[in-house]
Amino acid sequence: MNDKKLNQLFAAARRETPPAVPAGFAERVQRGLELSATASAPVVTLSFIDQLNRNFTRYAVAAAAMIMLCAALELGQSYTSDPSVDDDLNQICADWGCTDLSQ
Amino acid sequence: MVNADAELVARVRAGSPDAYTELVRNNQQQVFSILHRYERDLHLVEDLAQDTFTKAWRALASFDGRAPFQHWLSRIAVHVALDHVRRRKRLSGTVSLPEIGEDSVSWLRDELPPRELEARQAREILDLAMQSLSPAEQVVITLMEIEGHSVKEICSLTGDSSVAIRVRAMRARSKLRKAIEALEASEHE
Repeated sequence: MNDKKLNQLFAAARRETPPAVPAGFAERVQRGLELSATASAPVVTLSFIDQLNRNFTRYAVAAAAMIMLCAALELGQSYTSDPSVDDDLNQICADWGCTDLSQ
Repeated sequence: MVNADAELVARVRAGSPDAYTELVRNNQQQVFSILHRYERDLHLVEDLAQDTFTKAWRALASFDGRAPFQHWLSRIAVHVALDHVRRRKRLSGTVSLPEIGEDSVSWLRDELPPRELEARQAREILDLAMQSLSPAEQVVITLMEIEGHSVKEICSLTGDSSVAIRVRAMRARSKLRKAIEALEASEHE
Protein backbone atom coordinates (compact mmCIF):
# COMPACT_ATOMS: atom_id res chain seq x y z
CA MET A 1 0.00 0.00 0.00
CA ASN A 2 1.33 3.39 -0.89
CA ASP A 3 1.03 6.63 1.06
CA LYS A 4 -1.54 7.98 -1.41
CA LYS A 5 -4.02 5.27 -0.56
CA LEU A 6 -3.46 5.76 3.17
CA ASN A 7 -4.03 9.51 2.75
CA GLN A 8 -7.26 8.77 0.88
CA LEU A 9 -8.40 6.72 3.84
CA PHE A 10 -7.61 9.56 6.24
CA ALA A 11 -9.31 12.11 4.01
CA ALA A 12 -12.46 10.00 3.82
CA ALA A 13 -12.45 9.41 7.60
CA ARG A 14 -12.11 13.17 8.14
CA ARG A 15 -15.46 13.68 6.41
CA GLU A 16 -17.29 11.60 8.99
CA THR A 17 -19.88 13.68 10.83
CA PRO A 18 -19.81 13.47 14.62
CA PRO A 19 -22.87 12.01 16.35
CA ALA A 20 -25.53 14.29 17.73
CA VAL A 21 -25.45 14.71 21.49
CA PRO A 22 -28.37 12.86 23.11
CA ALA A 23 -31.04 15.15 24.56
CA GLY A 24 -30.68 15.90 28.26
CA PHE A 25 -27.00 14.93 28.36
CA ALA A 26 -25.90 18.03 30.30
CA GLU A 27 -28.61 17.44 32.91
CA ARG A 28 -27.51 13.80 33.28
CA VAL A 29 -23.93 14.95 33.85
CA GLN A 30 -25.12 17.35 36.54
CA ARG A 31 -27.23 14.65 38.23
CA GLY A 32 -24.29 12.24 38.09
CA LEU A 33 -22.07 14.82 39.76
CA GLU A 34 -24.61 15.43 42.51
CA LEU A 35 -24.99 11.69 43.14
CA SER A 36 -21.25 11.07 43.19
CA ALA A 37 -20.76 14.03 45.53
CA THR A 38 -23.27 12.49 47.97
CA ALA A 39 -21.99 8.95 47.58
CA SER A 40 -18.31 9.74 47.84
CA ALA A 41 -18.47 12.37 50.57
CA PRO A 42 -15.50 11.30 52.68
CA VAL A 43 -16.23 10.32 56.28
CA VAL A 44 -13.32 11.75 58.23
CA THR A 45 -12.35 9.91 61.40
CA LEU A 46 -9.50 11.55 63.25
CA SER A 47 -7.24 9.64 65.62
CA PHE A 48 -6.26 11.08 69.02
CA ILE A 49 -2.84 12.06 67.64
CA ASP A 50 -4.46 13.74 64.61
CA GLN A 51 -6.73 15.74 66.89
CA LEU A 52 -3.77 16.67 69.04
CA ASN A 53 -1.83 17.81 65.97
CA ARG A 54 -4.78 19.73 64.63
CA ASN A 55 -5.33 21.61 67.93
CA PHE A 56 -1.68 21.94 68.91
CA THR A 57 -1.60 25.73 68.55
CA ARG A 58 -4.70 26.15 70.70
CA TYR A 59 -3.33 23.86 73.40
CA ALA A 60 0.03 25.66 73.37
CA VAL A 61 -1.63 29.08 73.72
CA ALA A 62 -3.91 27.81 76.51
CA ALA A 63 -0.92 26.32 78.37
CA ALA A 64 1.11 29.53 78.00
CA ALA A 65 -1.85 31.58 79.24
CA MET A 66 -2.24 29.27 82.25
CA ILE A 67 1.47 29.59 83.14
CA MET A 68 1.33 33.38 82.84
CA LEU A 69 -1.79 33.49 84.98
CA CYS A 70 -0.15 31.37 87.69
CA ALA A 71 3.01 33.48 87.58
CA ALA A 72 0.93 36.67 87.88
CA LEU A 73 -1.00 35.23 90.84
CA GLU A 74 2.22 34.19 92.54
CA LEU A 75 3.71 37.64 91.97
CA GLY A 76 0.55 39.29 93.28
CA GLN A 77 0.60 37.14 96.40
CA SER A 78 4.24 37.86 97.06
CA TYR A 79 3.36 41.58 97.43
CA THR A 80 0.73 40.86 100.08
CA SER A 81 1.39 39.79 103.63
CA ASP A 82 -0.12 36.42 103.09
CA PRO A 83 2.32 33.50 103.13
CA SER A 84 3.74 32.95 99.70
CA VAL A 85 4.44 29.71 97.91
CA ASP A 86 8.11 30.14 98.97
CA ASP A 87 7.06 30.20 102.62
CA ASP A 88 4.97 27.11 102.10
CA LEU A 89 7.85 25.32 100.43
CA ASN A 90 10.22 26.28 103.22
CA GLN A 91 7.71 25.02 105.74
CA ILE A 92 7.45 21.68 103.90
CA CYS A 93 11.22 21.42 103.72
CA ALA A 94 11.53 22.14 107.41
CA ASP A 95 8.91 19.52 108.17
CA TRP A 96 10.66 16.88 106.09
CA GLY A 97 14.14 17.81 107.22
CA CYS A 98 15.58 18.91 103.91
CA THR A 99 17.63 22.01 103.10
CA ASP A 100 15.88 25.34 103.46
CA LEU A 101 15.26 26.73 99.98
CA SER A 102 15.60 30.33 101.13
CA GLN A 103 19.26 29.76 102.13
CA MET B 1 -17.87 31.48 23.51
CA VAL B 2 -14.43 31.73 25.15
CA ASN B 3 -15.53 34.67 27.28
CA ALA B 4 -18.86 33.00 28.00
CA ASP B 5 -17.04 29.88 29.20
CA ALA B 6 -14.68 31.94 31.36
CA GLU B 7 -17.66 33.65 32.94
CA LEU B 8 -19.39 30.31 33.53
CA VAL B 9 -16.24 28.86 35.13
CA ALA B 10 -16.16 31.86 37.48
CA ARG B 11 -19.82 31.25 38.36
CA VAL B 12 -19.19 27.53 39.02
CA ARG B 13 -16.32 28.48 41.32
CA ALA B 14 -18.59 30.92 43.10
CA GLY B 15 -20.86 27.98 43.91
CA SER B 16 -23.46 27.96 41.13
CA PRO B 17 -24.02 24.34 40.01
CA ASP B 18 -26.39 25.42 37.20
CA ALA B 19 -23.49 27.22 35.54
CA TYR B 20 -21.71 23.89 35.08
CA THR B 21 -24.74 22.45 33.27
CA GLU B 22 -24.51 25.36 30.88
CA LEU B 23 -20.77 24.87 30.50
CA VAL B 24 -21.43 21.22 29.59
CA ARG B 25 -24.09 22.27 27.09
CA ASN B 26 -21.66 24.72 25.42
CA ASN B 27 -18.93 22.12 25.02
CA GLN B 28 -20.68 18.74 24.74
CA GLN B 29 -20.63 18.60 20.93
CA GLN B 30 -16.89 19.17 20.84
CA VAL B 31 -16.27 16.45 23.43
CA PHE B 32 -18.51 13.99 21.55
CA SER B 33 -16.64 14.77 18.32
CA ILE B 34 -13.28 13.99 19.91
CA LEU B 35 -14.42 10.80 21.61
CA HIS B 36 -16.30 9.49 18.59
CA ARG B 37 -12.98 9.24 16.75
CA TYR B 38 -11.98 6.46 19.14
CA GLU B 39 -15.27 4.69 19.80
CA ARG B 40 -18.11 3.90 17.42
CA ASP B 41 -20.72 2.78 19.96
CA LEU B 42 -22.75 5.90 20.82
CA HIS B 43 -23.62 4.61 24.30
CA LEU B 44 -19.96 4.18 25.11
CA VAL B 45 -19.20 7.62 23.66
CA GLU B 46 -21.80 9.06 26.03
CA ASP B 47 -20.22 7.25 29.00
CA LEU B 48 -16.81 8.58 28.01
CA ALA B 49 -18.19 12.09 27.62
CA GLN B 50 -19.77 11.85 31.07
CA ASP B 51 -16.42 10.71 32.43
CA THR B 52 -14.71 13.66 30.73
CA PHE B 53 -17.06 16.22 32.27
CA THR B 54 -16.85 14.57 35.69
CA LYS B 55 -13.06 14.74 35.57
CA ALA B 56 -13.22 18.35 34.39
CA TRP B 57 -15.53 19.22 37.31
CA ARG B 58 -13.14 17.64 39.81
CA ALA B 59 -10.11 19.35 38.28
CA LEU B 60 -11.78 22.74 37.84
CA ALA B 61 -9.79 24.16 40.77
CA SER B 62 -6.60 23.57 38.77
CA PHE B 63 -7.90 25.38 35.67
CA ASP B 64 -5.83 28.57 35.63
CA GLY B 65 -7.52 30.25 32.66
CA ARG B 66 -4.28 30.71 30.69
CA ALA B 67 -5.70 28.58 27.86
CA PRO B 68 -9.37 28.69 26.84
CA PHE B 69 -11.65 26.30 28.75
CA GLN B 70 -12.44 24.47 25.50
CA HIS B 71 -8.79 23.61 24.96
CA TRP B 72 -8.35 22.49 28.58
CA LEU B 73 -11.43 20.29 28.24
CA SER B 74 -10.13 18.81 24.96
CA ARG B 75 -6.99 17.73 26.79
CA ILE B 76 -9.08 15.87 29.35
CA ALA B 77 -11.19 14.28 26.58
CA VAL B 78 -8.04 13.09 24.76
CA HIS B 79 -6.74 11.49 27.97
CA VAL B 80 -10.10 9.83 28.60
CA ALA B 81 -9.97 8.50 25.02
CA LEU B 82 -6.41 7.25 25.53
CA ASP B 83 -7.42 5.40 28.71
CA HIS B 84 -10.37 3.91 26.84
CA VAL B 85 -8.17 2.71 23.96
CA ARG B 86 -5.72 1.19 26.46
CA ARG B 87 -8.55 -0.62 28.26
CA ARG B 88 -9.94 -1.89 24.96
CA LYS B 89 -6.50 -3.08 23.91
CA ARG B 90 -6.13 -5.04 27.16
CA LEU B 91 -9.53 -6.64 26.55
CA SER B 92 -8.95 -7.20 22.83
CA GLY B 93 -8.98 -10.95 23.41
CA THR B 94 -12.51 -10.81 24.79
CA VAL B 95 -13.98 -8.01 22.68
CA SER B 96 -14.92 -8.80 19.09
CA LEU B 97 -12.99 -6.99 16.39
CA PRO B 98 -14.87 -4.59 14.13
CA GLU B 99 -15.98 -6.08 10.85
CA ILE B 100 -15.73 -4.46 7.45
CA GLY B 101 -18.50 -4.39 4.89
CA GLU B 102 -18.48 -5.46 1.25
CA ASP B 103 -17.97 -1.89 0.01
CA SER B 104 -14.86 -1.49 2.12
CA VAL B 105 -13.54 -4.81 0.86
CA SER B 106 -14.13 -3.63 -2.72
CA TRP B 107 -12.15 -0.49 -2.03
CA LEU B 108 -9.32 -2.52 -0.55
CA ARG B 109 -9.31 -4.63 -3.75
CA ASP B 110 -9.11 -1.41 -5.81
CA GLU B 111 -12.52 -2.15 -7.31
CA LEU B 112 -13.84 1.29 -6.34
CA PRO B 113 -12.43 4.61 -7.50
CA PRO B 114 -10.83 6.34 -4.48
CA ARG B 115 -13.30 9.24 -4.42
CA GLU B 116 -16.19 6.86 -3.86
CA LEU B 117 -14.89 5.72 -0.51
CA GLU B 118 -17.35 6.90 2.11
CA ALA B 119 -16.39 8.14 5.56
CA ARG B 120 -18.07 5.15 7.18
CA GLN B 121 -16.11 2.70 5.02
CA ALA B 122 -12.82 4.47 5.68
CA ARG B 123 -13.60 4.32 9.36
CA GLU B 124 -14.27 0.58 9.19
CA ILE B 125 -10.94 -0.09 7.52
CA LEU B 126 -9.03 2.26 9.81
CA ASP B 127 -10.64 0.82 12.95
CA LEU B 128 -9.48 -2.63 11.96
CA ALA B 129 -6.01 -1.50 10.91
CA MET B 130 -5.59 0.57 14.10
CA GLN B 131 -5.69 -2.67 16.12
CA SER B 132 -2.04 -3.11 15.22
CA LEU B 133 -1.06 0.24 16.78
CA SER B 134 -0.32 0.97 20.41
CA PRO B 135 -2.92 3.17 22.18
CA ALA B 136 -0.57 6.18 22.15
CA GLU B 137 0.08 5.70 18.41
CA GLN B 138 -3.67 5.46 17.73
CA VAL B 139 -4.27 8.75 19.53
CA VAL B 140 -1.41 10.55 17.79
CA ILE B 141 -2.34 9.38 14.28
CA THR B 142 -6.02 10.21 14.88
CA LEU B 143 -5.21 13.70 16.14
CA MET B 144 -2.77 14.36 13.33
CA GLU B 145 -4.32 12.75 10.27
CA ILE B 146 -8.05 12.71 10.99
CA GLU B 147 -8.56 15.72 13.23
CA GLY B 148 -5.87 17.70 11.44
CA HIS B 149 -3.96 19.01 14.47
CA SER B 150 -0.39 20.26 14.20
CA VAL B 151 2.47 18.62 16.11
CA LYS B 152 2.52 21.58 18.51
CA GLU B 153 -1.18 21.23 19.21
CA ILE B 154 -0.81 17.48 19.79
CA CYS B 155 2.03 18.16 22.24
CA SER B 156 -0.28 20.45 24.16
CA LEU B 157 -3.17 17.98 24.07
CA THR B 158 -1.21 14.89 25.09
CA GLY B 159 1.60 16.41 27.15
CA ASP B 160 4.23 14.57 25.09
CA SER B 161 7.32 16.06 23.43
CA SER B 162 7.31 16.96 19.74
CA VAL B 163 10.02 14.37 19.05
CA ALA B 164 7.89 11.64 20.64
CA ILE B 165 4.87 12.76 18.60
CA ARG B 166 6.78 12.73 15.29
CA VAL B 167 8.31 9.32 16.01
CA ARG B 168 4.94 7.87 17.01
CA ALA B 169 3.23 9.30 13.93
CA MET B 170 5.88 7.89 11.62
CA ARG B 171 5.75 4.48 13.28
CA ALA B 172 1.95 4.51 13.23
CA ARG B 173 1.84 5.26 9.50
CA SER B 174 4.24 2.46 8.78
CA LYS B 175 2.27 -0.02 10.91
CA LEU B 176 -1.01 1.12 9.31
CA ARG B 177 0.39 0.55 5.83
CA LYS B 178 1.44 -2.98 6.78
CA ALA B 179 -1.89 -3.71 8.50
CA ILE B 180 -3.86 -2.55 5.45
CA GLU B 181 -1.65 -4.56 3.14
CA ALA B 182 -2.34 -7.58 5.33
CA LEU B 183 -6.07 -6.81 5.15
CA GLU B 184 -5.88 -6.54 1.37
CA ALA B 185 -4.09 -9.86 1.20
CA SER B 186 -6.60 -11.56 3.50
CA GLU B 187 -9.56 -10.16 1.57
CA HIS B 188 -8.09 -11.45 -1.70
CA GLU B 189 -8.01 -14.99 -0.32
